Amino acid sequence: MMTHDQSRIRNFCIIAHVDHGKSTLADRLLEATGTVAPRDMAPQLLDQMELERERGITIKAQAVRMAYTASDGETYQLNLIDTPGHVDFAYEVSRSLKACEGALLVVDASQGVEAQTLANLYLALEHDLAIVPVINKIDLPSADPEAAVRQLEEVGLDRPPLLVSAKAGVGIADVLEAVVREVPAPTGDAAAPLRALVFDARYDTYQGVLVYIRVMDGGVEAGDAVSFMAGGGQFQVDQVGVFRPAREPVARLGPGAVGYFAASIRSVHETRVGDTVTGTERPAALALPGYRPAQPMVFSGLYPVAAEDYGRLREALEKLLLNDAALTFEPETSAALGFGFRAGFLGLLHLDVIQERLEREYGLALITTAPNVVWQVHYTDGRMERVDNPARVPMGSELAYLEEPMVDAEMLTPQGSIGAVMELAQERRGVYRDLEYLEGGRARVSYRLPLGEIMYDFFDALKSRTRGYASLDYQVAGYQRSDLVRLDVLLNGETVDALSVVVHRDFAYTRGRALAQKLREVIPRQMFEVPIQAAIGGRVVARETVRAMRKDVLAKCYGGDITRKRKLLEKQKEGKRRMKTVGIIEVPQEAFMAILRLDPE
Amino acid sequence: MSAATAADDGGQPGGFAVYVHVPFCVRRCTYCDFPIVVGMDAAARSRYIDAVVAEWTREALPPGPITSVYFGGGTPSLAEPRDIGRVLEALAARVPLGPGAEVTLEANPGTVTASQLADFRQAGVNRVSLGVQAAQVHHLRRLHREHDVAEAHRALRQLRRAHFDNVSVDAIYGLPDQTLAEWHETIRCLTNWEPEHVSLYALQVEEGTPLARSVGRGTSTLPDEDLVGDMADLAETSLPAMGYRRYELSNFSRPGWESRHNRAYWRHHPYIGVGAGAHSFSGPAGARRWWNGRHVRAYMTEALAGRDPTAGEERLSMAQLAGEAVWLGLREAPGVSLSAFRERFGIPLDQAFPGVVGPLEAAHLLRCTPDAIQLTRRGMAVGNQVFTRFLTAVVPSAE
Repeated sequence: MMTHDQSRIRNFCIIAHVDHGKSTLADRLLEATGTVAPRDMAPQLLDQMELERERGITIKAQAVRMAYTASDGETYQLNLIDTPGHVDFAYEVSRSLKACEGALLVVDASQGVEAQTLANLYLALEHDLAIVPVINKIDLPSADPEAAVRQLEEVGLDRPPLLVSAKAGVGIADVLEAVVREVPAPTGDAAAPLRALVFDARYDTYQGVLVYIRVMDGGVEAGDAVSFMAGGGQFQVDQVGVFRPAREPVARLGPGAVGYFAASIRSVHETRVGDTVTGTERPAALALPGYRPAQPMVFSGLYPVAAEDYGRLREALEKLLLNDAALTFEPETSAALGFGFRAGFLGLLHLDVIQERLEREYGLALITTAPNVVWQVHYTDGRMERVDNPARVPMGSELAYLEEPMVDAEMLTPQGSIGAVMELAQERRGVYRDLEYLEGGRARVSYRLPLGEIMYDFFDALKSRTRGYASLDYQVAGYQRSDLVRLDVLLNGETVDALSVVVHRDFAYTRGRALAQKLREVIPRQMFEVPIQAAIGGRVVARETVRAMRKDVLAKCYGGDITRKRKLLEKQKEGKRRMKTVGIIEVPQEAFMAILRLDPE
Repeated sequence: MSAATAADDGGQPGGFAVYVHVPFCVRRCTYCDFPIVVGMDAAARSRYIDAVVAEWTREALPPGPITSVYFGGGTPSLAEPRDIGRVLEALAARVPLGPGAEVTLEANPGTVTASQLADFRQAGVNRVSLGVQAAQVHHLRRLHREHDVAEAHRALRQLRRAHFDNVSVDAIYGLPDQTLAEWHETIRCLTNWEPEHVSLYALQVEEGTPLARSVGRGTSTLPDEDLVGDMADLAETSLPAMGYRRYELSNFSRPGWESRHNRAYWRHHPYIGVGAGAHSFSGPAGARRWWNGRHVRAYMTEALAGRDPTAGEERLSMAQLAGEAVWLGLREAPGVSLSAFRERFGIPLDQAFPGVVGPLEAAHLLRCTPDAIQLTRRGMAVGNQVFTRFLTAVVPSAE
């Protein structure tokens, strides 16, 4: 066992564009330090969730302790902290970076520096991390390491990059040596009261919540009484430990150490990322800076396709909640969809992940309504109400005005695409704030935008208009009064509350027409004609018709193949099960998301 | 037997049907996804027939007699009449053909001479199903059909001269770029020739066919559902006006000339399929369906070596069987007899499918008579909407 000597600790993370080989490099480091035997390696070991492996994204942070004997003969404790990689989880990323002193910046030798690489690099520089650039995949036939080296120089990195093939295991030792030599050792005060940064938490059935911490000052061990400085919770520590990568209890986590503690905490909601853990008996005077409680930004209705699955859906959400501090939900009733829940998410990816886990891990067939923001409704009598469901946004004379949440968005883009970025921001009702020219031919474009305008496809549109080079980061910037209206959809003359959306008055007509058209495409023909209407304040602005089904019969039966006929019918029936019956109309999931997929006008 | 029972099953309470798959083709039609081989030489074709005979000889058979034989393809008319004769002899050598057994051969216009037709008749074929498909040569070319409409007409006259008094013609609607007027012309043309039986099929685009690829690429445009619906309506109204009764979803005939073989499928009669990709059914007692491998040459190797060419099988539960009895039975105009259903499954139909019939009747898809449920004309157009509700019955287990 290593003695606790801060000078031998190195805390670092890996930042990279998706697909540039972050996970593979992490796997090689684990192997090279003997942390994991090659035969025990599952590909991309650190991405634990099935979903993470499939999508190649990291949703939960990870922290692994490795022991490495460097060329100077000393054995170092290397802590690799793997961070989530999506704008929805930007705050979580920033907390993970806070736990490190250095970062490996991985660039694909054939792809070169990409937008996300830069966004992450700037973020790392903001946290004063030592950067070790690594050019990966140098063994690919399409590799152009010289170009990647030039690009890294252009963005202002002086240190010549290491040339690596994580897949082939080339250059791994150089990476480890560079970490030891170039990443500064932590400089915590061992005598000071405990201050530890929470950078993640996850629920364990036996031990309760495991709180992932980076100790800044002081230390923590089993038996200590600890408090969360922002959350207020007080707990008795049952166990402290590290990940190697399996959990391994240790006697103590001292300054600079990365690990976890368990304290019979029942829910991750008591252990917010970014909070500071201190000793209850000898508390620190000041919390670590930068705490921001995770806050759901977008809301969506979750309804079981089959009403009898309501109970199962609630149980599944409760289980997910144990491990997801950003998720919220409460029961809600829709006239069209029956009993369900209104759930809050960090962003669309978060929603997507939760929805997919509910369907895959819990076998639920779900209808998800189009995500929306929370509006502040001001009534003529002076009352204000926060409303997270479009169907409940009032349109009558009791309404004084509506406010919508705004964000301050920063987009990093090559200077050649400034015009395209500004045009996009204007289209989405953005208000210009700033334009800053940066080194390396880049610029930072700042706009204030309604969150409701950027949550759907803004990031995709930004990417496509800048050939993938622009990056986006945003922070909430309060509420602002807007001329918003509720757009209702009527099927067969009946308003379907779950299809209502709130849009700016200037877009209401075009979006109403486009929405009605889209619904006509996605709602399959029924046994009868289905009129679709879009209405604003009771006034119909668009009308389309799904015509009645004319022909749906399997005619041929060559050579008595009844089996095939039956299978086709079973498949057809299965397709129906995925649809929600609203009144007498069978409506597929796509219809509820149609507003997100309107054809560009 | 009650009047609403699909009553006239030829008066044969027993027996079984035989399907013989003949996979020979001159060219593959664009919509075809059946096991066929283009360009087999005469020797190979003859060996294929040897394989069919070999398979038949080893097959375990239900009690006879044989009520119908159907040579389907492929293009069975490309077989030598004496080879067809050999198969029929082999069949009869094990099980006698019942009195008035229907023996059908599928034929493509332009593949047979008058003397060959006479030889087929002589060999024991008594019904021919002629694949006409369309009356317009541009559609036939696009489908990779080798004939034209004049040849089809000539084939029909030759059939009459060869003393075939039971002839069926096939046509397809919903072809790429087909107009309603063209479909009208096709129907008029076929009925002018006065066949006893007409089969009309909506084109189905099967995965992996040249047609599916062409639709995928956008080089073929299929008519929309409304136009296809209009074509179906046109056929369903004009054929009865010319004396053809719609006795099944896609089949029309002069009264008394219904295809007995086709009905065996809808009525759960046993049938034995021989040849590549052929399907068999044991009848309700064994409730087993099984099928041969689709690869023609592999089938030949197996069958000629005396091995069982069966590639798969399934056993139907009582719940599935009762479901099939309804959704297959509904294909025929008289529909499903309630008393016969109850007698067979020991439970009234409305209890086997609780809450199903009422809404379908209210939606005008089903019609209830005192002893039967039948598809309405609307129900026939959207039959799957009805069938999917009858897939599995709630029945007491028969085990």
